[in-house]
Amino acid sequence: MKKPWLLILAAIILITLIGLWLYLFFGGDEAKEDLYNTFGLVGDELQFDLGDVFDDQATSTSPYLRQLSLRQTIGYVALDASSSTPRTVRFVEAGTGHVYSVNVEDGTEERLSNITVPSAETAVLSRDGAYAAISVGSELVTVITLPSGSTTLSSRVLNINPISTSFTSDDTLLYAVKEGRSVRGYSYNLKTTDTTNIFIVPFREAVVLWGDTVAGTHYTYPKTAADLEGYLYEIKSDTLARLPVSGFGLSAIANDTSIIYSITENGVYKSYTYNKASSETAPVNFLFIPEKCLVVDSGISCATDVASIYSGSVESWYRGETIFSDALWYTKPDTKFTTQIEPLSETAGRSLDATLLTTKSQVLYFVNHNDSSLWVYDRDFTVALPDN
Amino acid sequence: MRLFLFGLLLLLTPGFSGAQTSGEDFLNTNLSLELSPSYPSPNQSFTIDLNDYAGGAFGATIDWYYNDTKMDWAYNQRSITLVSPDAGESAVVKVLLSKPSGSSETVSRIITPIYLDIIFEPQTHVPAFYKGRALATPDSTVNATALLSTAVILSNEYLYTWRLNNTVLQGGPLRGGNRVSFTMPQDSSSILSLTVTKLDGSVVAKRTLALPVAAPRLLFYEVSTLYGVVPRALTSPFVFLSNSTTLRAEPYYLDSEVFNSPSVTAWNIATINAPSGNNPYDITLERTEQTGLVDVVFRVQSTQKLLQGTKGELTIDVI
Repeated sequence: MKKPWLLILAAIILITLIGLWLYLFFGGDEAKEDLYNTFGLVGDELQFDLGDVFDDQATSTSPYLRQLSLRQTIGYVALDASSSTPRTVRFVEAGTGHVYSVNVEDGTEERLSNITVPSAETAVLSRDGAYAAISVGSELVTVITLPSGSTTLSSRVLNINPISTSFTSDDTLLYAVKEGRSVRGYSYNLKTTDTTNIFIVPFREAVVLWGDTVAGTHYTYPKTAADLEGYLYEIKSDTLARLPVSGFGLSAIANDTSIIYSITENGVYKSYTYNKASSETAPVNFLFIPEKCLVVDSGISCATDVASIYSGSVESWYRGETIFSDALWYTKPDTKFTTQIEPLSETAGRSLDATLLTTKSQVLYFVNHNDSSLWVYDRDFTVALPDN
Repeated sequence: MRLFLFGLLLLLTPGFSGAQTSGEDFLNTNLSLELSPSYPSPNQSFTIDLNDYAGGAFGATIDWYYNDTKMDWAYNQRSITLVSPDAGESAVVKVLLSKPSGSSETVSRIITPIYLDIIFEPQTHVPAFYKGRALATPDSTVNATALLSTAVILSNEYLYTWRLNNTVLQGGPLRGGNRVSFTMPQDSSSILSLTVTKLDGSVVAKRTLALPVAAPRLLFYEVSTLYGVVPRALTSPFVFLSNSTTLRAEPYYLDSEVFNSPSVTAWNIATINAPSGNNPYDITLERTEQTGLVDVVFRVQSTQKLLQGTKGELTIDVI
């Protein structure tokens, strides 16, 4: 090859390399340019823009699956209609601790308490809706007495740090606190302000499932971890009794007669029921997280995303890494029949991850874990299933 | 001489070992019943083996009895599987050997199952909204509580011998010592065993459990001034729409002492160190004119416990 051609070829290669070098260093990925200037760091005093909190509003057009409020809900109680009042739900708003009442029929909302509990995180209401106990993390509890008849709105702050609270059917506040390497359960009479120690659990990381009365049956088990064994204990008359319910990753809910629970066996997530009267354990043919279930007289109703549940998904859900798109399932433990009642998320047109399920007059209420919105499934969810 | 040989034969005969014998057969066969697991829990499936090391049962028929009820299905089996009775109840498993010579021999075992629950409570950090139990990580402290129960929790007047990877904890058996704390080894999994004995030395229950070791991991959450921590973990790319946002780094399963007094915490935005506020795990970001992707990194580390540390990265899409 002649020398001029060689020089031209070398020049072309050189120009190409220079072009490539310029592109790599000065072109492409403009998004990462001057990255540090993207943010100003301003310390802790900023106001959070709440404008996007309710971006994901209800799209449900179903007449029986309805979002009851746009406010974030941390606790609620459903009340039956009376001759003078319609069906209502009283609920506590997250962050403020304000208590509202919403009419289930027409959705009108009324504020019952403007007493602010800053950063309110959890709340329980008494069965008759007369009281609300509001907690901020595991710090003080503010008990709100809601106006009714001659009773006026008032509040009191209890100097306790509960891990769990509940109301009995006669408006006694139940709470559990960590003390040393134990958990103690107490009852607090709202009228007399008497406090009574009702049990001691000999470990700290306890979940307490409260009964309907102070002297009733309560349950406790160590908090759930798929890699650690859990055991269920019944608490009655200040005495702990071990039940034949245990396993890795145990989580459970219970009433006086039935216990439903899920465990991990050889790495596989499984759900069971335990009948206290017959001492019989039976598998349930759909998987659920017990906290997303409700035990009713005739059976069990669960909001569950059966395709997304595996042994570690409970902890992933607790961490906020997993979001479920639930359907509503129903089963009778003494039969092998199970049915899907409603594809909740599909019907709503958005992801519904139901928790805090309760029922009143065979209507189901729940809070959407995704955005803490309050919902009603306004029709009978307990279907007639064949006995065998 | 005959008398001497007969005496020698007697001396060489193995001991009776609790096996009851009857009949005319003069030779003891050293029969025993061995359970697996050794101390089954209530209502637990267990295997019971007829051990006949001396072979004296050769040719004998084998009948099994459960509380004096003959189990025909187990005829001539040397190993069967049963389910233990309820907590606090006893069951007697008996084996009757009928030998070709016409003699017979029995051996029995009483099974009184008892719950021995061991509750692990690792002293590692999880956020307040997390409803699950923390997991142990290398060099973290773990509290363990043993609960011995039949239908009710039993009193604590027993001797507890705790072993971690075959090392006896607390220097030996502890009377009433159903609670123990230990530092988690750096192995991927550790074995904790517990033997509970009465004051006379007889074993009441025994359990061995594998204690898994996790690694600390870090997740990011948004903090709302009104609602507190929003309990939904942020994933990359996190779309930043508002004017400002506060991020919280939550180092799951970091030893609680390290979490409370970390040697090193560092926020890093686009490779440049950034100051946090009063809480070293929080940082507040404010929008400027720029848009695009930016990497936010947080690191927490102990300089004393080198495996106690974690790092997380979140890509933020500022639009």
